[in-house]
Amino acid sequence: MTGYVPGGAVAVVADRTWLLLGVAPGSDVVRRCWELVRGGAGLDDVLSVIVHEGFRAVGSFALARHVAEERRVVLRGAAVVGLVGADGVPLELRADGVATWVDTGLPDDVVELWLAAGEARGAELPLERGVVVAGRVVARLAVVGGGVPDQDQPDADETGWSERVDETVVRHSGSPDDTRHVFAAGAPKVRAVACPARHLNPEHAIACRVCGQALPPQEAFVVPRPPLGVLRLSTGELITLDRNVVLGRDPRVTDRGADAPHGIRLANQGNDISRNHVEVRLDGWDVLVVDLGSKNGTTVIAPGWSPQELAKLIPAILTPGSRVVLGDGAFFTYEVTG
Amino acid sequence: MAEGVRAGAATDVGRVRASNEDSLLVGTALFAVADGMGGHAAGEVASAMAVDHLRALDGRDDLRPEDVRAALAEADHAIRAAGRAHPGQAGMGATATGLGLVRVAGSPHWVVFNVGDSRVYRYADDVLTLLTVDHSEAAEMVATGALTAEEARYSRYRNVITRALGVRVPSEPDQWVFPPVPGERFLLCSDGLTGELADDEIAAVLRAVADPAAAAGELVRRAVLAGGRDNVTAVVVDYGHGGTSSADTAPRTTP
Repeated sequence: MTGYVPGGAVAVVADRTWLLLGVAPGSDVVRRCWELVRGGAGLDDVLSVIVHEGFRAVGSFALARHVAEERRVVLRGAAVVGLVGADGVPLELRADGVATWVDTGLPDDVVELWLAAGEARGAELPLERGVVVAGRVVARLAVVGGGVPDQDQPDADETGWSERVDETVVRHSGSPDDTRHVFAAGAPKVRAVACPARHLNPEHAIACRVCGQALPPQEAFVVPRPPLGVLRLSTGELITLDRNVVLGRDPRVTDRGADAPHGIRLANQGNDISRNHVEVRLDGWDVLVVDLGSKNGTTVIAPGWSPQELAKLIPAILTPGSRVVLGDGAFFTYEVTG
Repeated sequence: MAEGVRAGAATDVGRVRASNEDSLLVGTALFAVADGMGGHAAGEVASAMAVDHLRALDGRDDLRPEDVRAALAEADHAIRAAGRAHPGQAGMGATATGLGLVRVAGSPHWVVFNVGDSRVYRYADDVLTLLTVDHSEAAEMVATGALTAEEARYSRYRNVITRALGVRVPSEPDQWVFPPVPGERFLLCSDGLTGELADDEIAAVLRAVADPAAAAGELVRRAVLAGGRDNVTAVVVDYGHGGTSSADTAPRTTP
């Protein structure tokens, strides 16, 4: 629940993100920040807009976000951020004397958070979402981070808020749901909705891609893309679709660094598989299959369809249950998993 | 050691820490580094548990990538359980990062795995490539452009890790599967090494020192000389360099 007190700055509020910007209300910065925040963007994106505009345009600002993937406060100039932890202890953050800005994490047990910039006059009014002229924004986060602490872990050693430079510490995690999904290294962010079984789905899906349940109406959120399923090889192994996959007689992928595709070597009796034969590519929520210019071609058999030869180098949508044949006896099937 | 594989390792407590909380595994086909955290020697316990669960897999000739994933999940549970059972070990955890030979579609493949901020590099054709993505706040900020890689080295977010075994953060490993290429060399290391040595210096040592154990020793020695602010561990794994399949009798020639 969020409230604001009218004043001389501009408050932008949506989806557990609160900005208080010391700019003229008509400024283009306000419109762009609103577009970003409304779209579920993180504070890095907001910061880039402000930095791009220059500090002469946005002298003081306070940005706060409190969601599973980002619990963070950024402030500059005369802006002040206050917070109250679960223990009831208040804390104030200021950026006095800091040339750039103050950027710090938020503990996940914050109960109340306020942002102030310039004068604030009058009574506090409610504001769930939108843009108003304000001097102060107050967010009350009674239900934080999905509720009960993880019983697995005593909290005694977790420092959360403190300066933590020399000892390795673990980040305060968000909701217990965080552990529900496997996120690949450097997985791109996607907009998602969740089914009642917590499977992630594309924003506009009608039924869950994993379990088929109807998706309840909800606001989409931004998450690292979950694995989109598995490839079941003709030899029985499963390859997780947490990154692209190149299959062939001897694919070379390691030169491309940590974001490179899996490389799967397939051999068969006929020896008719090309070195880099076919790639399964992840594009947003889509799974595509591309023949990489193989000598003998690639055939796709979608459920209920007759076999189709792939046109070389042209990505085609791969539907769940499809079998992709590289050569005699060498094939894989794409399956959706949770 | 598996056909065509040679490996060697070195570890040092460094100049600041009282104890070495790193653990390492040099198996026949599975290699790992684990960096423990938690006070009163608990970090050592956690990293040793992580490595022990992986060691139990080593030597299987039908090892699959999902076996590695399962072993890391078991280690995660075991470390949590130990933390609950022994108050002195509450909150302990470990990173787990490494490399193993697995069988996929009837032929050997490497699986690189990572939970936390230890790293795997590949050195081949005189190019050093980082194969893992650190699970740290600093790395996430670099990925979003909020920090440059250089700024990240000094950032206060550097030591805040976002995944680990045994603690209240996600423990899912990243995995990457690819076929082995003769002549390649891998370096597995804890952040105590990469915190002290720049990539250029790491590459120079991997280029100059042919024997894997000697290369690991030289990397650790240099990291301790450069400051040794944390425990330092390095495992060097060579594939298909010719010569014998042994941990310590390598010819001293440049690969």
